Parts: sequence; structure tokens; C-alpha cells
Amino acid sequence: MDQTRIVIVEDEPEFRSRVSEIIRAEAGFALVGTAGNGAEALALIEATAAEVFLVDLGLPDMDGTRVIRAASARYPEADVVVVTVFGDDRHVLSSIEAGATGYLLKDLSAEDLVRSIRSLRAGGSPISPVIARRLLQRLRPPSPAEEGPLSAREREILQLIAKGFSFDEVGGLLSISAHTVTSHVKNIYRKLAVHSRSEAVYEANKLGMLRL
Amino acid sequence: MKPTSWACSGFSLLLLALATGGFATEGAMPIAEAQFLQGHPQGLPPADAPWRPVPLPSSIRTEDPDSLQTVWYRLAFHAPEAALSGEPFAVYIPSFFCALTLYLNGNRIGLVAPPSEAYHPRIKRPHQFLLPDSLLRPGENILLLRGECRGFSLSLGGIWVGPERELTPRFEERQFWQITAAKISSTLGILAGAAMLMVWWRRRKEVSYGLFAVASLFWGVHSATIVLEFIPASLWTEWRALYYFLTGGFCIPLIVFFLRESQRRWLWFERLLLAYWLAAPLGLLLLGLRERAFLDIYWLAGLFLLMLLALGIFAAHTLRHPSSAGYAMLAAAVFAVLLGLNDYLFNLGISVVGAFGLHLGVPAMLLAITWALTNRFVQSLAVVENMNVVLETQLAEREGELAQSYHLLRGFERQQAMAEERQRIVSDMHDGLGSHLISSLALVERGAAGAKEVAEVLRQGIDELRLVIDALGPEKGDLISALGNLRFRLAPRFSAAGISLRWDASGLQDSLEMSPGAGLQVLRILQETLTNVLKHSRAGTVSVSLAAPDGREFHLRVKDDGVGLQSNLAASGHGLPGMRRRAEALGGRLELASEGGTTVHLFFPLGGADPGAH
Repeated sequence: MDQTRIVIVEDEPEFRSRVSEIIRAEAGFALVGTAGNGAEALALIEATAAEVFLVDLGLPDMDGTRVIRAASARYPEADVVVVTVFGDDRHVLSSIEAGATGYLLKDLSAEDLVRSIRSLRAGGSPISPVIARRLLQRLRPPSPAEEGPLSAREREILQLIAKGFSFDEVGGLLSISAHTVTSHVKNIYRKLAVHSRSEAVYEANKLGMLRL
Repeated sequence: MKPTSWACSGFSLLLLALATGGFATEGAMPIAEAQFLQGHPQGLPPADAPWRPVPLPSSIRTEDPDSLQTVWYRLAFHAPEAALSGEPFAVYIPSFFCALTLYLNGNRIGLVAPPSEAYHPRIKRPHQFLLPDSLLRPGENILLLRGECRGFSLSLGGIWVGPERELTPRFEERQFWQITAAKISSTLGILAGAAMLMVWWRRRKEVSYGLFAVASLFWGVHSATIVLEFIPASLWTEWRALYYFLTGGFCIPLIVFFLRESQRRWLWFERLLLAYWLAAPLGLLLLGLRERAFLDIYWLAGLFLLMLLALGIFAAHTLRHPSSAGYAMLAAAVFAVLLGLNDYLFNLGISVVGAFGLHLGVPAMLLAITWALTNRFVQSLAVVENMNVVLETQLAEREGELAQSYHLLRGFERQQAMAEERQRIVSDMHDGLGSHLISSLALVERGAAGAKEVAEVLRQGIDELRLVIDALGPEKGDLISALGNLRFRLAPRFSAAGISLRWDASGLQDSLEMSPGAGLQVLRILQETLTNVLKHSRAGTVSVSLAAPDGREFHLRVKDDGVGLQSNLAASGHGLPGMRRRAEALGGRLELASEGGTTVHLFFPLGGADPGAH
């Protein structure tokens, strides 16, 4: 089986080396590059293909969302994962809008880190109740009569997650498998990215910045 | 130039036209000279009577105005060719106050009123009579005019002989300006007076309106008397008294009006004026007709002087406080006074322009004063309107200020609430994270902790911080998601410990807003409880259920199937009092039960929960 190629973009050397070690120690993973700042990261993305990008938002020379945007644009099939200390909604949401498909907390244990990456590659995306709540708000239909970007089932899933139910519990409540729930969530992530892009196009169009 | 001044000039020009004879006429011409005879009441006076020549118009007055006088005017003219060949010719007499009879070559051709002792004529209208062509003869013709008069003036204001078609317009013109105009003037005076009286009635403080109303009404009645051409001789004294009363009633209020307009409120002088006004009619009634000559000459002259005095004061005032209305009133009043003087002299038999004119001047003055008073009325309306606008603006300003200060107050309140909340969270972090870090530091410095213990205490510190961040949230805290986040974070640890963590939030609405401080207390309690379960319960399953059945009370229940309260109470002893304290701070309570494991219940009220100090 092919190894999962991983790139780390992180300015903090301690964390970078710890994560590097964990990845190297894992048989199914291959560390194909590390970058300590945004410029290096953009160069690396140009030069090196990977399945997983772990990106820190707080880079010294640029906003991490720029790196996320570049990576997800060049490798649409890859998982771009934002690495954050607190998993707070503001950072995670802007990352998802930039194209991230998941986030990892920096204090995860080695096993959790490996499990999370595997789960991401298997099609899952972690999502906390607070993030779920924010996603519901961001992807709300413009009016009650209209259909928003989310399907009824997706809304249902997000509502249950926002109340604290786990993927397993959501699956049980909705009589679907936990795996189905995770792929729904990943879809929702993609929808937010698309939604925010189309909103940007709409806004730009309105301002006359784009000619279609 | 003011409208009123235009009107004045217009009247002046008309009067001038009237005095100089109006239109140019071809055939008609005034007779320049007459023979005058006083007395001879019986029959036609013979040619050798004591006639004396007078130029026409004549100015003849008598010193005895109250006895009936008979006067004769004898005029000679040459009959024109046209008159003899059948064209209608006429005699036109512009002004002769007496009851007249007209003879042509000894034949009576006209009669205004027969000579009588019973009536007193005061005839102000012009006359016109046709000359019967049968009575005309070639060469010289003689017109004989007989008049019966009471009054000072025995004057004949001219006499014209000419084609009827030329004299009629002249006659009608005179008729209009002397009689119709006086009637119009009377009507105007009464109307203007009544209107002003109504204004004054509603605004008693504005004495000017009242004075003007009285003067105007008196003028209206005064000039209406022109229709009374024959006064019964028995009422003659009363008539003269009425005449003085009307004249004074017109002049005295006007004098006071002009004084008041000049800001002169001389009450004693005004009383004196009132006395002067009433002195003439009362004096005449008490003392009899003997005083008439005196009153007609001196009392009226006194009125003129008083009026001139008031106008002088008013002129000085207007010069000091110029206003277009003031000048207009002054000009119109001077014009009227001059006309009044003319009439006064004319009445005494002294002809200046040969016609009465006051009835033309007074409307101009009434117009000017009406204009001035209306102006004032409109100005005071404008002031009121302006005041309304100012008041409205001020009100709007006040409202704006009020709204602003309300806004500020709300801002302060919000700021204060936020500051209090911040203070609460800072002191919470101080007690929680702060003391945790201190004890961790002590642990590490003692060298008592291995890497695993250090990692554990640091992890606890991070958990503590996450809890605060969840509680604070970017928007108003949503308690359910924050509690869910706690579960989401702790889930890997439970699965690592082999404890199944069940969650039931289906009894809750979608979100539940709570202040960050209160939310933090709830999160702490749940975290503490779950940590206890994780560390001490040795349970296989723990279920957390959240419910708010009636929407007023929140119920959090954590139930495990572990070893129960007795054995883990000692281990978690220091945690329980803190949890109870937090529950109390929420206005709620903590209940513990131990039956086949441990069950912790937290109840607290929603909405009114005071997140208060610990």
C-alpha cells in the first residue's frame, strides 16, 4: 500500500520536530517536506506533491490561510489540515473557508495524531460542537423559503453535533453509519469553502472587480 | 414708493382734475362773473335792486349761519347758434349748498327744493338743468339763481352753460367724486372699522386696533350723513351736536392712535382729548345755537391743531424708528389733514379747490393704517410660527440629547457589565489556571514529578484554558455547544481509559444563551465531575444528560456505574465543596446520589442566574 505523503508547515521548531518524529515513526506515513515560514511553504507546495498538509496558522511572514489556499488549490484531493492550539472557532472557520478539510489540536498525543490523520485520509473530518454551531450559522439559508447550501440531512447532522453528540451517537440517532456521518461532515467543509469563494465572487462582482 | 403713497398720489391727481375742471370742453364754458344780491325773499328782484358784481366761483360767507338767508345770483350769457338751432343745452352747477330755484329769462326752469323755514338744506351734490330752447332767445339771456341757506357759505362754486352732451359727463364726474365716493368712503370706513373691531375684540391688549376701529366706524357714519340733505329745523341743534360728536369721534381716537403709535401713553392727555371731544356736542346742547359759530370755527380748528401735534410726534417717532408702514401712515394722514383743512375752509365759504375732499383722503389713510396693522398682525403670526419652529428645533435637540445620553448610559452599562464579566473571568483564571500553574511549578521544582506527571499537569492547565476560551466564545456564550466541546475534548481520554461516555442532549432546544461567567461555572462543574469519574470511579459507562424540561431550570446529570460515592469521596473531597460553591453562585444546587455508582445532579435556574462571585 502507498504511503501517505505528509508536509509540515510550522514555525515552532519543537512542535515541528515532535510531529516529524511521530510521522517518521509511523510505517504508513512519509514526511516529504517541512517549512518554517510561509515563503518556504509556498515553494514547497510548488515543488512537492503530498496527500496531507499540516499547516500552522500563526506563521511569521504571512497568514497561514494563504498557505492553506495554495495547497488546497494545487492538490484538491489532498487533506489540508490546520494545526491549532485551542481549536477555537474563529481560526478553524477561516481555515475551512480557505480550503482546509480538518483541524488538529497541538496537544494531541502521538496516537491521537496518527489516528486523526488516518481518519482524515479515510474521509473523516473532526468537528467540535462549537464549530458545528458556527457552520450552521455561516451556511444558513438566506431566507426561510430558500434552500441554503446545506441539505436537510447535513443540517440535521450539524445540529446534533452542535449539541455535543459524537459521530457514533449521531449515526445511531439518524440510523446511518458513523462513517457516513464523517463523510457528510467533510462535504460540509467543502461546501463552506465553495460558499465562501462564491460569496467572494459575488461580492467582487457587485463591486465591479470581476468581468464575467 | 409704497402702495399707499401711490394711492395718495392718485387721489391728489383726481382732486386736481376735479378742481381744474376735468376734461377739456369745446362748447361748454364757465361763466366768469355774476351779480350777487342778499335778501329779497319775496318775488324776483328787479334789475335795479342793489346787485353787486362777484367773480365766479364766488367766496361769500355770512356771520349768521343759523338764520335762513336768501341769496340771488344773476348771470348773463349769449345763446350760441347751435342752441338756437335745436341742440340741447344745459346749465351745470358744481357746488351750491343752498336750496335752489333756477330761472331763465324770468321763467323757472329748475327747482331743488322750495324755500321753506321747516327745513335746513345742506346740499352737497352738483346740479344740472336743461335749458328749454323755447325760452332761449338770441343775444343775451339772463339766468337767475335763488338760494335759501343756513350756514356760513353762500358761495356759488361756478356755473356752466353748454351743450348738454358735454356737460353731462362733467356733471356725472362731479356727482361720482362728491357723492358716490363719499358713500363708498362711508362703506369702507364701516367695513374696516367692523373688521378691526373684531380683531380688537379678541385681542383687547392691542389698543391700536380698537382706536382705529372706533375712528373708522365714526368716519363711516360721519360721511354717511351726506345723504341727509334736509335737516328738520326743529332738530337743527341736535343735528349740529351729532355732527360734532361724529367729527370728534373720528378725530380724537385717531389722535390717540398716533400718540400710542409713537409710544406716548399720556393718560391725562388722552382724558383731556376725550373731554375736548365731548365738550362740543354737550356745550352746544347746553348753551344752544349761539355757540355754533364759535364751535365751527375754533373747536374744529382746535381739532386740527391736536391732530397736527399728534402727527408731529408721530413723524418724529417714525424718523427715529423708520418703517415703510410708518411713512405710509404719515403721508396718508398728512394728505387727509390737508384735505380736511380744505373742507373746513370750504364749509366756511372759503374755496381752495372748490370741492370737498376729506372723503377721498380718509380711505387712503384707512388703507395705510389697515396695511400697517395687518402688517403687524402678520408679523406677530410670523413670530409665533418662528417661535414654533424654534421650539420644535429645541425639542428635537433635547430629544437628540436625551437619546444620546440614554445611548451613552446604555454604553456605560454595557461597558460596566463587560468589565464586571472580565473581572469575574480574570479572578476565575487566577483561582483556576493560576493556582494550577503554581502547584505544578512547585511539583516540578521539588523534582517529585516525572515526565508523565509534568505532561499531565500541563495538560490540565491547557484544559483549563480551553474551558475559559469555550466559555467566552466570540458571541454570546452558547452553553450547549460549549458543554459539547468539553465532551468532544475529553472523549479520547475516556476511550483511552476504556470508559464509554454517553451523551444525551436531546431534551434541549438547539441553543441556550448564557453569560460567559455563568457558562464557565457550569463547564467547571461538568469538567470536575467527569475528571472525578475518569480518575476515581472505575466505571465502565458514564452518561451525561442535559435537560431543561420547562425552560426555566437547567438539569445536568452525570451518572456512572462505578464504585460509588463512599469510596471516591475521600479522593475527590477537595473538589466537592468547590462544585457546590459554583452551583450556589449560579443560584442552583448540587445533589449527589450513590446507588450502584455515582450520580451528580446540577440544577440551576435559567435566565435569572446570577453568575456572581464564587
